[in-house]
Amino acid sequence: MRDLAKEPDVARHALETMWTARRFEEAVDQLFARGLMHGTMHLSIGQEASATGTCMALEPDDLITSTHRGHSHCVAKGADLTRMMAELLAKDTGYCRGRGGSMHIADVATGNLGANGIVGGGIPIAVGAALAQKLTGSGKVVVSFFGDGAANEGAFHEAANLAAVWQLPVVFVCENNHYGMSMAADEAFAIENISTRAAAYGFPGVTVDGNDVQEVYEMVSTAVERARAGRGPTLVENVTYRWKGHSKSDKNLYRTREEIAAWQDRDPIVRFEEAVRAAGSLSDEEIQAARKAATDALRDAIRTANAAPPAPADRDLLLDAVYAAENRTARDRMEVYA
Amino acid sequence: MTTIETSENPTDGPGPAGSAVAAPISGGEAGEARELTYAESVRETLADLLETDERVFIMGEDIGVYGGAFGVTTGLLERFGRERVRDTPISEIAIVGAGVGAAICGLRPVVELQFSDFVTCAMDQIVNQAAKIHFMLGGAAQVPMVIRAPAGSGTGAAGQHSQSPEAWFAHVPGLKVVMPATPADAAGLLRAAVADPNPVIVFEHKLLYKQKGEVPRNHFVPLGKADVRRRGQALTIVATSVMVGKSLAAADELAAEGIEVTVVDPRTITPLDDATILAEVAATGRALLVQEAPRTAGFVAEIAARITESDTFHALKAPIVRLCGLDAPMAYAPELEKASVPQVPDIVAAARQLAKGA
Amino acid sequence: MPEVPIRMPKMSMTMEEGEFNNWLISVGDTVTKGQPVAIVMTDKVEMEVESEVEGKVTRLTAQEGDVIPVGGELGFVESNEDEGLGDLSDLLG
Repeated sequence: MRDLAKEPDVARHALETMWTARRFEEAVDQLFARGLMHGTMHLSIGQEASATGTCMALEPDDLITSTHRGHSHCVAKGADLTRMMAELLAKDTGYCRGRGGSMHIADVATGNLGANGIVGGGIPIAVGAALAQKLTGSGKVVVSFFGDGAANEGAFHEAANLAAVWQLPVVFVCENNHYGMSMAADEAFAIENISTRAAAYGFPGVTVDGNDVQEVYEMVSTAVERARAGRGPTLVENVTYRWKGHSKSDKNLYRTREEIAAWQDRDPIVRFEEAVRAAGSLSDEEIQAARKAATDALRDAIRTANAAPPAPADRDLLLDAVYAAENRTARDRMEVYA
Repeated sequence: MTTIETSENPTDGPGPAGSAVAAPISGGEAGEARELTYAESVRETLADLLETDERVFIMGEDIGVYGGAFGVTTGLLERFGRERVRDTPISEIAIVGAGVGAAICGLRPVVELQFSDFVTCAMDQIVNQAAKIHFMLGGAAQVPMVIRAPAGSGTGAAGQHSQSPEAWFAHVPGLKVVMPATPADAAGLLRAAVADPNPVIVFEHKLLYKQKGEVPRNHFVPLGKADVRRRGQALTIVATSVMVGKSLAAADELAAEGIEVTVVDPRTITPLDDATILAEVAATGRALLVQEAPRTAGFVAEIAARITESDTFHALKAPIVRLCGLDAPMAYAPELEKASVPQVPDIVAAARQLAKGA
Repeated sequence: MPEVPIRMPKMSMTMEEGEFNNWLISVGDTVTKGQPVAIVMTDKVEMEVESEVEGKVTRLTAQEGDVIPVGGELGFVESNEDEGLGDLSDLLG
């Protein structure tokens, strides 16, 4: 099992990915605060190690489904920052052409089957995607991201059971950040660790320090290997924390400033930087360069995205977008048999 | 394995080598007609699709070993095996959701919900996921999934096993809904539904399963095309599903009295072929709309609205008449059940009255 | 070191402006990222405005009672972060 901190290229990739996810969310936070983004945003600041460690355990053509708090999953899976930012800025050049917004960003070409505005909504879809991989013998694995809140939705239970009985190549990654919207996980669950629910469905579950990118990477890699070998699903519970409120309307009445500050002191990205320094794989300059690369990438993305035209308010275009046309080309969608 | 294509419905991108995409037939094996029951017609069509298109698979509760609650899928498990004919746990959310995921990944799942009433258990996956993914993702994905469900009353199954919920789904942009009324249409619309890159819901009325009819081989009926079953000058009946047959029976009785009526079967609920309906209503000036589902906000209300908001309004000689199910849950006792939905005498009486109005 | 504005934040989906109440800090103070620096009123609810950067407060322009639109400037901080995103104004054309 590779040690992410020890190999320079790998360490650099992990750092750049996490910092890019962080800067992306900070940019969204600022742009929203300025009134430039519509709707609301569900920020994943503080959860970067969970997204990055998980996605680094996947091959490029493996698949993921994501959540309403999905920007970091999207970044970690290799999405185009400009197209992500353009979507949030309601531009025609956005991933969804301004029709989906934050909660529906998908990059089907890179295996991201989409964020989802319904808590738990993507879990059965991930299981279906895994079923398709099994039926076609593609060898690909699907990761289903969801939060602690989703683990109480019927969709989770039905999907977990189906994945188990059919031995499907799916890894369930539960990002337990201790809160649904305002309900603390210890009030929503009578059990200590969500991972114990896997046993109820007959597959392994493990609880992991979701802010340790190495641990996440190792556990998800093991689960991915199991899935790829045809041995069925695993539940990996990444324990983490979100620094920002549930959404932009959240006044954080349900938690204390002290609690937030305590978690901020254990920044998962700073922790990994320390591991990299200890391993001696990158110099201080190289670590700073990784931070700067993320910042520069975001600034470029914002500049380019913002300059694009807004999605046109064309009713005919909207109506035309409802149904897929008969003779679509395979280029724009997943083609099962290459 | 023949690859079947026509210019009317081109195949949607390169399919697997040597396999046919479900598409209409033109020439080739001419549509030799055989008498099949509606259930046999659906079964044969599913078998054809499983045989010719390796993207197709079916799943649902009790569809394998049991052969489906109404016997529609009998024999398919033995012929095609457990990978492609999948019995599932009782998990509507997962059944439909897995269908969504598999469809996004390029397969063509045909999932069965054991009773139309159970759509409610899977509503999020149908309405918030399947229907909207293509739009919300800016066209980057498609959900070519078919949901089949036995619908309707008449078997004494009572309130939670007897519904006709087509109106709920007609109201959801992104879905297509069909209600085949004959064995031929059951085959043809199912082929079209599987070929369609969008999610399609097929409501098969339970009382129709044993009905016999001529079914041409490889029959294909495009979505969005109504069928004019007979023409007459007195009035136009627009009826769906099991009400089509009842309307035709009523039409025979009325013909004996010298009242000749037109009967139109929309076949596809959404997208509706309103051009045909409006033309046939304009031709007679009198419209009688018949559905089994409860009256209030039922689908024929939409048809009525389309008639009155169009130029056809000026051709109307009388108010539009709707004959619908009662605004009540479906009762259990047989006489109560019959009284709850339009029957042939009700259609005859309503038509007679409409025809004789000034 | 760039001077970065403290802006009236959008704190809900429908918020368009806020009424400035009072400052929690003074010119010359050093603030940290996330530290509450002011109280504003919106929809009859008092909300804290947090500093988006670490640095020294240089100017405080908003006064009690001022009604300021979302995105409007309230004051300024001389940011000592050279790796953060910065103000972003230069990117927004």
